Amino acid sequence: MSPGNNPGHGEHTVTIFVNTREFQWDKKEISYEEVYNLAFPNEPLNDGDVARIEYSRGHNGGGAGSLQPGGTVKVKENMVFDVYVTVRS
Amino acid sequence: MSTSPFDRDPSTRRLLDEGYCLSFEGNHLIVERVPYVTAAKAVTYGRLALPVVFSGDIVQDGSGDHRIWFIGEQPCDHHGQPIPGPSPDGHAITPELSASFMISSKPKNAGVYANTYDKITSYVRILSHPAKSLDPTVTATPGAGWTEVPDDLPFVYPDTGTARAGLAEMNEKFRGHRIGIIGLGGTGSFILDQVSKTWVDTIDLFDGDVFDNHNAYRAPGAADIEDLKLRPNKAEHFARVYSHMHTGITAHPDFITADNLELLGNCTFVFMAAADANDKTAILAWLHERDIPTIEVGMGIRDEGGRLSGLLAVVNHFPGMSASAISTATGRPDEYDRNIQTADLNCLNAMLAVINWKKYLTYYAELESVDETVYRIFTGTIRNGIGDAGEDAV
Repeated sequence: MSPGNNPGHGEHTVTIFVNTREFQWDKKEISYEEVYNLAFPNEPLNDGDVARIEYSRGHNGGGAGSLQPGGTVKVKENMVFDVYVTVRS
Repeated sequence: MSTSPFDRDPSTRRLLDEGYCLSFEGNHLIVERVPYVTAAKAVTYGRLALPVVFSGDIVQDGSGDHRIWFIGEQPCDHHGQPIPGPSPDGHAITPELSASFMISSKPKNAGVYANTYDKITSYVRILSHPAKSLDPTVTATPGAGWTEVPDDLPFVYPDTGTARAGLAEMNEKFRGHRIGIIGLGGTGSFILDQVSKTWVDTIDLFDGDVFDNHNAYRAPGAADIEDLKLRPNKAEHFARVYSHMHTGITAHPDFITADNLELLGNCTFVFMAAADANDKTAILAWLHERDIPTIEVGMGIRDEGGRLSGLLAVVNHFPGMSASAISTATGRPDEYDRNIQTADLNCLNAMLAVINWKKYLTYYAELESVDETVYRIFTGTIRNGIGDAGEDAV
């Protein structure tokens, strides 16, 4: 499903970057799970897996931070998300 | 027979021959008993200190830097007026010994000293002439004396970087520490590269894996093909290489699991750099229960349409921090991952971890204690601790 087609919130569509790729997002907020699914639509998280989600260029002066499972953040035009499982060394 | 490296240095040899009293402390050549005059017009003795440059175990000529350091009060002329040259400048030599003045006096004609002998004798003259005019019997050359204070640092050859930087006091913060490094892959090996250059007492390496070509391409330095042919254990390979420098390294050719955690019991600090330790959560919990501070590193890199992107994460598990941090980087590598690793990213992740460790030891300053540091390739930014999300997070 393309998130840009999500009905009911169509008045405010913004471009966001998730893992370097552009997406259209038409809701005011985005959740941890929604960002993950944009990044990896075919790789659902299994029990015990934790992906890191980092964001920046958000509201309030370019707000940046880490989005936690179950959490939600307000979206803004050109906001940038990184979603990776950081277990390699 | 003396095995002092100064035996082969013509300048120090000549100083000794002429009766100067020298010692070696904190990687500084010290000229003992240099007569000078205090502001109270008293004749007394101070010491000159010169950081020593070694190449291997050979002392090098130190005349290129015309400065020298003085241990004593403000040096004065025979009227008790400060002589030109010395300026107040704290310079640590050992934790117990600091110089209080830097003296800068270039030779009038050449601008540089021909050698260390000329440099030291010139400064001794500057300081001792006023003293001799007040008391002709004083001398800077009471007879050959040699006191080489043995340092007990865990190194194969002298740590002259510290002397040159005047960081002896700071480096005391590493002493007494026993470091464990779990995993000697791309990141763990770069952590060892830095930890082995500090004054920590011991470094224990834990890895049950074999060191192969692909490991060599993400490790510091250049592995010898003859070593690779032998397929050494990673912990044993890196222990051998880094024992060229640090004397306290021990290899444990085993993976740390829930069954052998007692191997970590002697550590005062642990770096967790094991890529896919199944028991990572159990290991971290065990260390947390024993208040053994731990730093966990991990990265996730993917091919994003022909360019690599990803995150490097350093998670601090320090005593007093909430246990919630324990689980932040757990997770299983998924089967779609191509195990992409590049040495520069391994290295950066390791350096971020080492810097956080040095902040924990108060070697580096930090605004506030943080639970994690994350580098993002795409944005080129580093986040420390909780971001400035503020009201954005809903």
